[in-house]
Amino acid sequence: MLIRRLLTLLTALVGATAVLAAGPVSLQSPDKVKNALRVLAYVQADMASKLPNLAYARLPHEVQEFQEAAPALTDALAGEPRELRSTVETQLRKAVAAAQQVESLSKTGDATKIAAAVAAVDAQLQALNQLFPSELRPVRDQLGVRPGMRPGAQGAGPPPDLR
Amino acid sequence: MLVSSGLVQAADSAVRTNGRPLVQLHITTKGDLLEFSTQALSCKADSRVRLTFVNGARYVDFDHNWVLIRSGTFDAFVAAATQAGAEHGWMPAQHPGMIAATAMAHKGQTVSVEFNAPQVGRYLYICSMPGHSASMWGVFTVTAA
Repeated sequence: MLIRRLLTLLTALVGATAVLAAGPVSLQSPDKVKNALRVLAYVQADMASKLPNLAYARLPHEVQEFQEAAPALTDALAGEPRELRSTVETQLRKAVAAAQQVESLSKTGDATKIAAAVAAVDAQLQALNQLFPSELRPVRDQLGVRPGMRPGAQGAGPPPDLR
Repeated sequence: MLVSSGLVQAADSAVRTNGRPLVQLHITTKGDLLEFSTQALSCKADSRVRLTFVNGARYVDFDHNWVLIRSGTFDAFVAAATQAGAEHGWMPAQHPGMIAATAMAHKGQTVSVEFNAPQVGRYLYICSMPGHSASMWGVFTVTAA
């Protein structure tokens, strides 16, 4: 299982590296792209946050939100060269497909398979992020939570003295 | 405890409500992000607060609300909200930590709530949807009148 996940991530990263090798990406609407990538990251993190308490019934809802978030990136790339849009949309479809796998597996209640499927979404998102300059990629610890925390992580949320 | 039930009405120009100075606060989501537009709100202790919350999502059909809770009750309240479930709008029927809350706002919707400011101190505001409060939270500070 671990080897398969690593291979998935490696394959995705190799593809992303090939695109980056073509030269630096200069975007017309970098803020929109950055925002769209953060939305996708948030939804994936929200998806992952359902795993510790086995709230699998909520996963189809999270998958739906992931699918709704995808067009934000497509729209952000309107006007960009066709090659870039095609590359991004191909990777975005892989991420959405990975999310749909989460929905399918959520009905099984198999904790191991579901966790692997959620991790696969993360891997596809990481590959997607690699298609863009580093300053546009979401930083896990800067998704609106306290420094050092990531959404869904134990202890994420308000400062300890107020929570 | 106050829970709003409807969409925001036209702004009232009254300066005082029930003898208290009216403070109008406005907060939104940052578009589709699971973040409030600000992590800090404040008012004076004797004020009547009218808070308007806009779910500014454009793409994702997130539901969000704005809930004011006492400090020290975050974990218990979030657990109670999760336990309440979707059928109760992710809000516990009664919780000692809750001070005020808007209704759940769907994508693009505006909701509001009015409440008397609690005593001087620091409070938390959150979205009670499961998982959202990890990033959707802020500090509500009440200062001396």
